[in-house]
Amino acid sequence: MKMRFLMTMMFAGLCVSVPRAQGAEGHAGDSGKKVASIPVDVSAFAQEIDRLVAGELKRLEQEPRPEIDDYTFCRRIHLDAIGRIPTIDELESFVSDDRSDKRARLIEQLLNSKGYNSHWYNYWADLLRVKDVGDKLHHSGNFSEWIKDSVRGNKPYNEMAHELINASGELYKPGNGATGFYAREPMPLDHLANSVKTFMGMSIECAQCHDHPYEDWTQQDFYKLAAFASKTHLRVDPLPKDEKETYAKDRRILKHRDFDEWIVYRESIRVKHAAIYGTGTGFMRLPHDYQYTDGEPHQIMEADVLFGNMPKVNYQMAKEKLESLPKHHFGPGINARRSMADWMTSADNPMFTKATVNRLWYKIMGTELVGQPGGLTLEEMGKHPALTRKLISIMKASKYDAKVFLSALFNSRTYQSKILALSTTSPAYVLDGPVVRRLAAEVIVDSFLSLKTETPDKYVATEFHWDGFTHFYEKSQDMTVKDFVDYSVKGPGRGRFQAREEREAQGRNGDMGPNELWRVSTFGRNYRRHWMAMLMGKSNRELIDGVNLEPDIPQILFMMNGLGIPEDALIYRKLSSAANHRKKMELIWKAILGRLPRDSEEPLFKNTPDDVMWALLNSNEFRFGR
Amino acid sequence: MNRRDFIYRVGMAGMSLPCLNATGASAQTSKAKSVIYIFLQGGLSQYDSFNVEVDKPVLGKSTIIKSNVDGVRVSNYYPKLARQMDQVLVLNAMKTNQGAHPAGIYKMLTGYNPRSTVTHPELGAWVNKCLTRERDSLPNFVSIGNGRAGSAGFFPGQWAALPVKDPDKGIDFVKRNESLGENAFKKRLNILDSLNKDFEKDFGSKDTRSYVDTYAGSLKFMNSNDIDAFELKNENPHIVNLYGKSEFSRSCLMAGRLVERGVRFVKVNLGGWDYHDGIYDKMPANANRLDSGLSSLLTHLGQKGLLDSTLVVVSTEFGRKPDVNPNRGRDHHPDGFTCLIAGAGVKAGQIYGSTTKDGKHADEDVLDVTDFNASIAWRLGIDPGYEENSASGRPFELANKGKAHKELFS
Repeated sequence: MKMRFLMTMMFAGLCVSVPRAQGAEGHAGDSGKKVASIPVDVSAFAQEIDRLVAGELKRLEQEPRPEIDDYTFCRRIHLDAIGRIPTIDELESFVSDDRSDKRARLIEQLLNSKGYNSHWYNYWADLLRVKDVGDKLHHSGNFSEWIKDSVRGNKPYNEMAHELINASGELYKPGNGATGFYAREPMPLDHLANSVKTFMGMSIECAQCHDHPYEDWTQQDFYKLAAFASKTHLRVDPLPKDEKETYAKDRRILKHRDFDEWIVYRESIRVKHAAIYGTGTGFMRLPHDYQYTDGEPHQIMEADVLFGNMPKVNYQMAKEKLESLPKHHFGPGINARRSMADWMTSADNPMFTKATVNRLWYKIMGTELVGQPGGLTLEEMGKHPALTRKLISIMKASKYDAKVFLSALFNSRTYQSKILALSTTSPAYVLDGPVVRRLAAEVIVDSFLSLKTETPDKYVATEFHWDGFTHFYEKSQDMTVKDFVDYSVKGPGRGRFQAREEREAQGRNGDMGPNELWRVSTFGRNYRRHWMAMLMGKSNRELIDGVNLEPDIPQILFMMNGLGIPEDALIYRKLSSAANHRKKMELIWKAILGRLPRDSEEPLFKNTPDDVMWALLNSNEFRFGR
Repeated sequence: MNRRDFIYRVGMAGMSLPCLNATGASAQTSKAKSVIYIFLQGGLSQYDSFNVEVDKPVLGKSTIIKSNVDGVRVSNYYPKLARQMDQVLVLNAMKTNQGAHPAGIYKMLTGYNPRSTVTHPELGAWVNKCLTRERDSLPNFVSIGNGRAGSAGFFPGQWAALPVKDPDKGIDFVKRNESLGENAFKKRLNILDSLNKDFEKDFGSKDTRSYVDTYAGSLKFMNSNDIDAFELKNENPHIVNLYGKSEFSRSCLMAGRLVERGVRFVKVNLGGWDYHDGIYDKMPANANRLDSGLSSLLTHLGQKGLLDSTLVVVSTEFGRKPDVNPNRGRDHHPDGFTCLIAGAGVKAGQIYGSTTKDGKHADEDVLDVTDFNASIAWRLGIDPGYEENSASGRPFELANKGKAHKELFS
């Protein structure tokens, strides 16, 4: 406790509850929901991280990296906390601020801003692969909204994960969007492999079909884990009884009468009924082509975890009883899926916290604390086990509050060190700060917005947004089967009925602003509409870590020949009121690269502002974090 | 600075020679100049297409029709290709070790199993890197259609495929902005060069250099006269009329145009084959696309005299099961699936390899995915054993130890 007292002395303003920005500065401190202040331990956490890193550097006789200056810090923290470069006003305001604790204040401000919500929505949506999938997750808007709501409310990560794993019920019911995770991949065994990779960072998919070739997991282990969620399934149509009693008659009539009407009937009923069923039975059967001698096809497996503590499973049917039933029987649902969710997200699970801190470290620093985010093993603790253990304990102490964890990282000297470009001559220890890597697609595109407007985060949503599917779901609660028939035969037809619902839904959302001023996250689920971000390598959400940071010809052609900044953009307005040409040049450097020009760059001043801006925007310095 | 130096910075001289066959580039070992690689993502059902010599129940709802070659029969879903089987070699005993899509696709396209530590180049990227000459002004790896574009893996990004999402749209932003003169544009490039050189000193990495290289490649591309290759409206109407209007057909048309202009490896994506349910409702439309497009393409290449020098490949990541499942679909099946090759002197009008009659296993003349890729490379005159190192210095062979099967060719 003496330690903490000293901390309080040294970091006045960080340790007491820092007043949230009152909205006067550019970051719109109101994130839309009331959240707890960042607790006092953050500075202690940061110090602990730094102590371990310094110790390792000393042990290896490696020089510590120098600290970064205010310009570099301002640009970097904006990129990492809220996913865009600072506007010229934000940068100049920070640099000229003379308070000794301004960095800590800026970190706090950014973490509680709308920009944070936008940036981290992108991250979780990529991880969870939010995407429309035909007749499975037909429309992923509700899934998006659940993530956005969770980020706005700063839901602890373990709770988010638990909700995703254990989600049930209707897909399009507002607030129930966590069901999108299962619907995104409803093939139960693939879904299990994805969940394990997403939340525990492990690749066990090989064991789905055979004993894992080089890890310890056998096919039986896989099936035992699958037993928890057994019989969970996505059903998009009404339940058989409901179908028979309510919808079937008209469905037959429409099918014979008009294909379009039949489709509208089918699809609109699906919006009401599509749901995740099944709470997990705790029993699984080996596949019909099980090839090993340690089991038989269709043999019953009881739920078991891969490692760690087995959660309680309240069986209601004995295994012997199930053995006497035909092979499509898996037993009654007994909430075993919840038990698996408990195990997977428990603080005692040796992989959950490790995988989480590994991911967040990789996102912020660009290096592997433990290993590849989707390919960790039970034993490995990375190149600096003590640091890994420390970060795990910080995450647990923060109760999985991502903002607290990130704040600890951002406030550390380790984070605020000069960036390193990895190469064959890199030093032995590279966990002592961030490494050079390209900015994510959305970050690049959102950074263009910082050049256009004083308030790039203005139109980031603060509340639930309706879409055609959630809107129709609500309407459908009062619809009788006659209403559905009328809806199908009196509407604008198959191609347009969804568009009509979407229009009505948008009418409920109020003014969302002009889409030239939207951040990528406001475009939401339909990634195809954001072609610029796609060109920059935005994840197509097929793979869990599917971001592409590489150059290709179409991307470069766009940057060279297609990128335009509107005449009324912030940067042009600033340029027009700049005192002289030299001041214009400084402004351009600050707005785009977040720093002053170097003396060696003065020869470039002889060029026009437009030529210089084009070059700076196309430069490696702009697109790679520094 | 000399313009030519500026826009063609990467040293190409001598780079392609080590890739060539150890036996040298004689007329026989380098019969193909180009590859058109049609990738059927999702898993083509072989018993509903080109592997019909199996027990009747295996065929499900497919029926058998004769082709224009005695002894070669196909499924009723491919009536057009049935009249051109004298140009095609059917490979019915393909085998892979992967049963899920992401890994299956990766294995087929790169020859390697996916690992979390490295991403491998696709075959097209190897071909691109090995065969690109300094005088080439078009990228040698183009990918048409949706789906996985064409990764360069651990090669620098410049060897990735140029993606053409929609053949009817051509290439976006390929022309310099109208308001900008050539000199002004050059000035901008000089400023950019200066900034990048500076950044490279303290912050340079393989990734930053990859960007510099790709800018060079893009400039070259912009300035090439051959961009016309991407304008379908400039094609001879007689050739255009060989094809239907579907996107796949138009993509095949563009592929033909590109190989006519010397592009070495054109990938055309036609996905959607993953029929786990309702296969006989959903598949016929896709089969029709493939049937029409491929048939037109073979005719197109024949008319232009390009069939001898172009290897046409139709592949898929795995096949589908011999039994139809309770959802009236077929599930994945890696042990005994079907690919096709045509052109470039293949032993056309034949079937190579067979499965057991119950459709469960590849049986005779089994061809592993790695052997398949090795054979394609060999036919282009590239040594399948050619090695390159990844960023960590680890060597990888083009064909991952696959062996070229010369008996596939005359």
